[in-house]
Amino acid sequence: MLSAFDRSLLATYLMPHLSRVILLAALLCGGIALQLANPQIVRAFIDRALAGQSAAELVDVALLFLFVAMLTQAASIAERALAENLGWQSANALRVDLARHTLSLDDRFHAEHGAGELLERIDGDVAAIAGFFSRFVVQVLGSGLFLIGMLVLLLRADWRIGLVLTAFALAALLFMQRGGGFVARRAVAARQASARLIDFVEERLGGLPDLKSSGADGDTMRRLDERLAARFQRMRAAAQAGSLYNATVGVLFILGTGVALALGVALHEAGAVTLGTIYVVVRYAGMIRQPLEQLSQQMHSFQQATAGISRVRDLLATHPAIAATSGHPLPAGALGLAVDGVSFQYGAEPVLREVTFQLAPGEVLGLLGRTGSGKTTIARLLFRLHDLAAGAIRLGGIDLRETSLEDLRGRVGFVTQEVQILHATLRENVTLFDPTVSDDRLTALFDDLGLAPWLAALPEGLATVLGAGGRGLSAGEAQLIALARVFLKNPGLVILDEASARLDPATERYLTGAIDRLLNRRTGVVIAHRLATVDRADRIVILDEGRVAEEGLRAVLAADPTSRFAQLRRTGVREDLA
Amino acid sequence: MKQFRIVLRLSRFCLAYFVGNTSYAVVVFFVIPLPLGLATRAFFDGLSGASAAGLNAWSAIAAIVALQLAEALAGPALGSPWSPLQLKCQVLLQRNLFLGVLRGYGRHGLPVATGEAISRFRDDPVEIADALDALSDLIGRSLFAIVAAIVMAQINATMAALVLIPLFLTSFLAELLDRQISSYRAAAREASGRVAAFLSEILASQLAFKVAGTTAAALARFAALGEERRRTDVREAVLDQTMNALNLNLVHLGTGIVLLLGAQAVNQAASPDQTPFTIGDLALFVIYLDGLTWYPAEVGRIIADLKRLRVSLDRMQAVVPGEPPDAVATPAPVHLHGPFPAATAPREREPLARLEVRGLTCTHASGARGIADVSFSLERGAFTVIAGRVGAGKSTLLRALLGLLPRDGGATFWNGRAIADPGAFFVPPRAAYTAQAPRLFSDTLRANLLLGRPDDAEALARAIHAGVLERDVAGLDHGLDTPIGTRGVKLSGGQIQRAAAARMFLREAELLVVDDLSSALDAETEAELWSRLFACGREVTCLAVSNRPTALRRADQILLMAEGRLIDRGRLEDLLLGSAEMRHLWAEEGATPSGSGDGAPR
Repeated sequence: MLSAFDRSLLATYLMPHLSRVILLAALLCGGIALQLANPQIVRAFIDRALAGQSAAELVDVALLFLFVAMLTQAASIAERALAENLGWQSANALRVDLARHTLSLDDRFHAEHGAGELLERIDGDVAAIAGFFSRFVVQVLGSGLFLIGMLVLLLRADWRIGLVLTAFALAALLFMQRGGGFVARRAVAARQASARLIDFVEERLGGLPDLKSSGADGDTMRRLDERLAARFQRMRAAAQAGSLYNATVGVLFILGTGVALALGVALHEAGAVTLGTIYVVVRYAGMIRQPLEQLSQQMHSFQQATAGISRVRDLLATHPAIAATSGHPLPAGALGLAVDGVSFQYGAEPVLREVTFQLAPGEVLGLLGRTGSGKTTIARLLFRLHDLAAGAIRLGGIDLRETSLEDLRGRVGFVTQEVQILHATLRENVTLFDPTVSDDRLTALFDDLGLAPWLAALPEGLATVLGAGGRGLSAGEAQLIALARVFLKNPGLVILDEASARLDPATERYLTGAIDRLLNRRTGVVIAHRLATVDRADRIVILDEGRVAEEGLRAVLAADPTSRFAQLRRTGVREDLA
Repeated sequence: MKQFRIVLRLSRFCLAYFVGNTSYAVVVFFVIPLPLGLATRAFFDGLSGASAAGLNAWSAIAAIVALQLAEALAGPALGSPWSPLQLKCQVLLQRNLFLGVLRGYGRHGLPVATGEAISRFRDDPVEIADALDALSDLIGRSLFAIVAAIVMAQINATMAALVLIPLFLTSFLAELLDRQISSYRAAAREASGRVAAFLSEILASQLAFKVAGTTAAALARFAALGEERRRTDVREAVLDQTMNALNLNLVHLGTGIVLLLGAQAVNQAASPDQTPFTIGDLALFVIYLDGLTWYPAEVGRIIADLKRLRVSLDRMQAVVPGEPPDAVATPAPVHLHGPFPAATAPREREPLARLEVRGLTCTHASGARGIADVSFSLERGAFTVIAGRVGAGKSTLLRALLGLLPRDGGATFWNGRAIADPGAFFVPPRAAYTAQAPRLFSDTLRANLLLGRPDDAEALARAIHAGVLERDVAGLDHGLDTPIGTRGVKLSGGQIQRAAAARMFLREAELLVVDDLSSALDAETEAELWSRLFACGREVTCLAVSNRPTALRRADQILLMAEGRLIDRGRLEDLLLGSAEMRHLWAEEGATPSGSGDGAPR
């Protein structure tokens, strides 16, 4: 029943807690024994009372009953605490491993799947698996033991009654296996209808200005009505299926109990069983349903966990397209760059065709070209977010594929155009949760970048909460944060994809100053949208449809009125570069 | 008690289901358990020879089986009424909430964050609907509690008192524990929310972590948050189990007391004037105690439900502040199955001759930049361009005019007539709008363009052409019927912008309002869009935000904004002469009077 992967999950995440798993099993068995003992004590009481024993002896039995009852509950609390802890710990370990794996996957994967979907994989699916960890193994075992113990005790009390109830229990188990699927399918349909409703509302609430200004109120309400009605019908069908299923199981048990009772009466009248035995039969017949239901429920939560487990397996089976190699370390200091005959394509669409250029250590390259000309792709290739189709990129004389990914990404600073700002403090946004960076170092860093006044203007300094619900940042300010992140790494090559948005003058000044400092004594590749930035470059490369259209020293190109660069400068950079 | 009135009002709204559900509760909690206890007593007494009820063991078995069968089948027989009762109530609450959001958007926007609004849409109606089911159960269980207590007291008053008193005492303790559980549950939910929020942040910003090389640190933080969630969750689970154990122990405690006292009574050692306590009585006590154990919990549940109902209702009401009190719980027609009412017919067209705006003022709730005292007018057929630097208030002006942002002052006149509710007024066919960052929805491209309008192929083709979208449509696998959005093809920013423009053109509105296209469209495409718009042959009145030379040259009137105020207006050549701000913008755009673009001003 368990696949090899299920077993490996159990081995990886449950085995470290083996001693507690054993303790849990022991608690469970103890609890079962106590639960089974309860009706036996009452039986002893009844039989002794009817046999005319003294009140004192009966009081002892009554006290024993109370003691056992309390102990049962104590065991159940201890068991729950242990099982929950076990489940959460193993599931949390799995979550962290999954998150680590997911973060190691490339951009493409993240673009295709989106944070919401991955959140559901890592948090939602694992929750189903947590149930599997904390309950499945132990509860299936426990319910099975409970059932067997009860049937054995019934058989011992009277074999005929025991056989009747065993037969009914088997029939019920069989029915639950079949009928459970019928209920589960409807439950799945109901959950889907509910999810579709919520998805719809989420999307429409996000697009209210579009809806209102398109006069789509009526259409939106109609679609809402459709989804509300679908949810109503599906949920209702699921509830009815569940109710019908419960009733059918109930009828089976009632008939079983009825037959057992009738048998008991006949045997009692024949003097074969005591009244106490009949009490035991009545109680056990009432209790037998519980382990059976748990068994069947576990089967279904196992099926649910299976769906989650297979998605988790798929996720773990997705490998990053870029193999993490280990190899030559990159030299210290500013890094020279050689891009040699580089071609690259997304799917079937060629993005770069045989791009070649060089950059000496400490030089700054201005990369220009229209949207879609391949500028950003070059930046991403330099950071090895993708691997090349043809050609080679060498950094400090070493092919990117021959150095380790950690070394490369440690030595190359990348300021992306879209800066991701977390809903967290400024401190956390710059350090990205690296606990080794002290506040002093951060303050010094802002000083170095010339941002001390900007920092001072923030209401709570480094503790200012940014992002959704916090202080909003303009595109320029977001780039300041990205620059600070890069500065913290002290890289040998800086790739800067400038924000194309228009900036207010104050931010523009900060940004210009900070970029100057960042590029000081470092090699830089700048995708420029501003004349000021272009003027800082030593060399210029102009891309057109993935090819190098023009390449050379800025001063030379600027002096040649026939160069494309000179034309660009005349007609204004922004309109043609953005 | 106002909450109780709301429960009653909602019960009346779902009256048939409420009656069904209450009947069900009365049957399974009262009508059946009561004789079941009596039949069980008769069964044991019949066997032990102490029969008083006149039933022998055989007829008692028949009665027990029949009663249990009736109990098992009551749910399906009555159509499982608890489910439609709660669901119908949820449909009403959710529909009212959403309708309120749509109606009030122009006046107050969405007053809470989208995620928060969704949680209130999803979770709070469930809480409110649960109170109805709790009320049904309470009725059934109360009947049982009263009659069962009487029956037990008649059998043996002392014993009945001795088992019932601890029951009610312990329910006190349970009430206290319940409060603790609620606070633990809230803490657990918060911890869980923090885990999810953090995880979605690091997933959404994975590139930033890769770039900074701090993935390990982020994972450590994630692990710490997970550990925190484990602690809070286990704490809640253990307390919950304790409470359960407490309830179950009540039955056992009661049974134990019955056994202890019965030890004497059953043995007939008591005085002869007392009725003997039989084995059958013992069985009846155990069964009734089982049913009564949950009674205090049930009373607690309805009290807690009523409290939660108030909280939930207030939370929902806060999303629709413009609606009357408790509007979300006000009965209204709902549609539980098709056919669904068609979208409302388009309003009658009223040709625009002149639009006048006086003293429009709008401050963002966040206290950020707004606009103050903006007045202008535009004539039929005119192309008006709003220009200005970032943060000058251009988008705010458009959205305040259209009633998509709450205004703080000012008036708008359509053909000289004052507009009372701009949000309701500026809709097609009067006005249509393309936002700076428009949204499309997960559906086919066709459905996204139509949004409820009749599917007219010619009109669609015209709108797609005007939006410069025809090449994109041709490039999609299924053309207009290609699903787009999260479960379909992901469109680029430019494609979304042009699709939104096509959606606007399809409305053939009197007034077109277009926010800045430059963030998603290159200069060439924007120029193409304007030239197609004015070549379409229809008389177009358009108000657009743009700093691009092509738009500025075409403008009949430029409204120049700076720091939330209208600082100048006029045609391009006049403004270039008279306004330093205009010259600055013009230079920043890198435009020269003879530069590229599509020619001289009209």
